[in-house]
Amino acid sequence: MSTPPFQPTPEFLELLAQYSSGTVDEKGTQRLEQLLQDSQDNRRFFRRYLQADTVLRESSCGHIRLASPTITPFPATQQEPWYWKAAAVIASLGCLTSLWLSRASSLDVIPPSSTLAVLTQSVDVQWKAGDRSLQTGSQLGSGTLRFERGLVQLEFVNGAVVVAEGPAELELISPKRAICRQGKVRASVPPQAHGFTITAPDMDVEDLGTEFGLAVGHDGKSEVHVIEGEVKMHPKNARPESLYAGQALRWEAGLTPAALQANGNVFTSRQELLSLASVSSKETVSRWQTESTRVRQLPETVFHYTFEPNEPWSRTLPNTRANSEPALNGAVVGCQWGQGRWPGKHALEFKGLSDRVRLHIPGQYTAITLATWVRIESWDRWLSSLLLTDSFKVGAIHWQLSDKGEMILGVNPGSLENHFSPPVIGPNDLGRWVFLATTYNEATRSVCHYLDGRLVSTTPIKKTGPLIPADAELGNWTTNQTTGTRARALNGKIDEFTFFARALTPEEIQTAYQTGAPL
Amino acid sequence: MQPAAPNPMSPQNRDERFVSLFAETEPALRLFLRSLLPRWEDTDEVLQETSLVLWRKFDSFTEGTDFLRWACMVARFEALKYRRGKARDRHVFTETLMEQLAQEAEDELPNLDLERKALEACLQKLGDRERSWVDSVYGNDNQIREVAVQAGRSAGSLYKALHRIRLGLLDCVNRSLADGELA
Repeated sequence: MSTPPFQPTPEFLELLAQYSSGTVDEKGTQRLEQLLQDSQDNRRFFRRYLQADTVLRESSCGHIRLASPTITPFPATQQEPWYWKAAAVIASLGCLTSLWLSRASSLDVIPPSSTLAVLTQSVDVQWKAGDRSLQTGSQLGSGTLRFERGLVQLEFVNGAVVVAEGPAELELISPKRAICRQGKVRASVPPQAHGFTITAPDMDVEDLGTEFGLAVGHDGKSEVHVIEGEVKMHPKNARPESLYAGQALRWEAGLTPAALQANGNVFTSRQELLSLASVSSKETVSRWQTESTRVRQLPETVFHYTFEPNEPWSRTLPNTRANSEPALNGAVVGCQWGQGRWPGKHALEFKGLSDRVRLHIPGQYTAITLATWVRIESWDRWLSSLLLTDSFKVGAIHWQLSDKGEMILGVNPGSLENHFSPPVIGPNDLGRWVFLATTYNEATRSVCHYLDGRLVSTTPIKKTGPLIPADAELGNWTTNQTTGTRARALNGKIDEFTFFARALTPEEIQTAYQTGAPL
Repeated sequence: MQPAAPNPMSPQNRDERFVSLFAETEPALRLFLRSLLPRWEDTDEVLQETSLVLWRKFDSFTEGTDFLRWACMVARFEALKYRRGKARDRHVFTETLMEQLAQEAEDELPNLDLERKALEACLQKLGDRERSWVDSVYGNDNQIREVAVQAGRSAGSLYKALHRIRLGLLDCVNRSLADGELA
């Protein structure tokens, strides 16, 4: 023995015991501080003591040690790929469980938005199988739209408005140029958008004045009808030619174009589209209402907020679940009521730093589904809250989004666990209604994230333990004395939010999306 | 799609790299934060925050340098930020003391491994009764009052028992390190 071990005073030891068990009072804290400041030996001892505290905690309650080879979140195979091992190790430590799921492409920085047009109206559209379905409000960059039937209205950022009828294939090239490979389109071009051009097979159609229709058949036959103003036709291998209101032209590859009498009525106009949309909108609403009524009756529905206030001035968000406790109503703080997914549907606007809906979720859960219709306006901060329980206590649920567009479910079953999706919410998803859903299932030990009904990630749950949400809020976060830097206020609108005490199946989530999708 | 010879910093390797580095350092980070913050719930919350920040800033980490040291720097910053948010909480230490504790803890990082091994060896020597107290109290998120009721003991006596267990562990560690048992 070289030096006798340091002997702390009984007073110091007593304070240390109280401090580490969380029972120390203010006076005790100050005294402990004093003793620590005064002596390096005390500080050393303090750290050793808390090290013992840490190791004891890790050794208990199934906290899994780093070296443990037995923990695999899924049935082990003979040759496990590295990521299972990584996931197991990382899961055993309760940290960023799902990072390995991020794929190369998804980790790339999302390019700044380059919107060419906005989808402003759609009626009865069936998108081509395999393509992502787009909704009203979608911002469109360069790319191809394909749909089997139905009508869409595109507003190009330079001011041209195009109504297209399926089956159609349109490629957006620039704010003043698109390619039509198939379909019937009607373009209305205000003076500031003169020069707007649609490329048809063997022909560029340039608008020099207000309105024309273009039909491209799958047989390669095309027609242009000038409804108003002037259109300049640029054939592939011939000189340009002007057409005026009332004139029309039909052509196909290899043949001389033929003049026709214009008939604008075959091209759906904006007015017609609007009246069709209002009929279609009624169908959407009634479909959604039927589904919502069903959800209200489900035993596993804990709360189902449809964001329809009883009175316009109401500060209560009623839980519409049948026979629900009044305690499960949300208390609206700061948020104003605004328009939801369709005219007549209400939503709450989350704008201010303190806008939120407070709620209390009783009970413990081993499986849940969180589902919401949200319109994110912008990423104002790194993390934006959907539903966060207060602080990050054991049993916590932190459902939030990162400014990279990742969906994140953070849970605390005794050690922290974050389940990330790859960045899936892109710049073009801002300003439109998206359906986000996340399931947590202890039985299958997995967390699944869904965007617009599509599964976007599955990550393994490492440590199980009941979720005990208790006090929570939508669109914001309360931690002890929140400061500005830790704010997670959402900038956007929510018009539906449901909490199920069960992990819904992918099919159920797809259905929920389809029955709630705006036009 | 996959390049034949992956670039060492391809995104996938980057994930893999982060995952393994973080896995290695997480226990040390938790300990580091525990010595700066009054309660386990504070520690968990800041560790959660730190893990997110580390992932987010991983691009600025220089490969070949000490990840733990870098992570501690971030953790220290996050702990101080957290503390500022709790300025009215009388149970947190002053910033000066936190800085001092953090600095010394960082200086001691090289010894951490050895001490930890010693601690884990000593942990094996706990008696069954102590083991069950530890499991019930720590395993229930320190819901000591509930555990005390179940165990038919007062909360105070359970605190004292745990305190003695911690001191016993420290004693054991001191002896084993002095004996060179683990050198």
